[in-house]
Amino acid sequence: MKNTMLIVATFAAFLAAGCSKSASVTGESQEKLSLVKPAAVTVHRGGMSKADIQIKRTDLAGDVAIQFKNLPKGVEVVESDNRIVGEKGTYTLRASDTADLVENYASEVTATSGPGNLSVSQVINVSVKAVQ
Amino acid sequence: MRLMIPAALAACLFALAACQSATVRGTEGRSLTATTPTSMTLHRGGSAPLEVGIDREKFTGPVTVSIFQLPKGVESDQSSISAETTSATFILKAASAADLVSNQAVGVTVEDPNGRKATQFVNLTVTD
Repeated sequence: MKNTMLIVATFAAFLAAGCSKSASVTGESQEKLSLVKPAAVTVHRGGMSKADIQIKRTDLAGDVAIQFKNLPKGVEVVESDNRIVGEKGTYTLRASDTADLVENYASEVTATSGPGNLSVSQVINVSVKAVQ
Repeated sequence: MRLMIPAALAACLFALAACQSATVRGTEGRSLTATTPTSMTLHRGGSAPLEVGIDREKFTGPVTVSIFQLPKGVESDQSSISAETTSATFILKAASAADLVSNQAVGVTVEDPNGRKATQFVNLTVTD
């Protein structure tokens, strides 16, 4: 029984690790910015859902601006200006009552920082489901 | 075009009037400011975001944002948030049998790692 639990826990940890994706960019002075985001976010019509974004930086100080682009019609980010001062941030997606029902809609999340506006983007799949 | 400028100014003034902030100041010019809307309305069975602005002066790092004094039947998705950002959002949900209240003061506290706290209150109304 213990072994089974261990295997299940290991498998779950593996799955969890596979549920986020990262990308990074390196600037001229070897400063580095990495963006880790969830592979997918699901929000129900009329509801809200949170997405955790992680940042890793090397030789890069200051706020990191996060921008979501190409969200499904009827979906918006609640926070108008939410910059990351540390290494992680949470963003709230809200779907209107009439938001388009979509499955894995390829939206984009971009992190920008530094004097040279070092910028890294990633696709985030957004699904909008009907209220159950 | 002539109408757009006054309209934009009016919108800005309205936006400014709709927010309030509390600041706690520490040594070496450090300060922490929490900004919240003055009021918000929830419908029974509905939900709405409560966004708290966080302004750090001369320090960085996480702060703890907590919410308290919610009316009966109103719940927040989190009671506290460790924020490494310039804002934090609570999702408030009113149950279908939540108490109907008008301008009940809901508290929001932002606390830095040294224990300095800035507390602000939002007038929450729950309607049918």
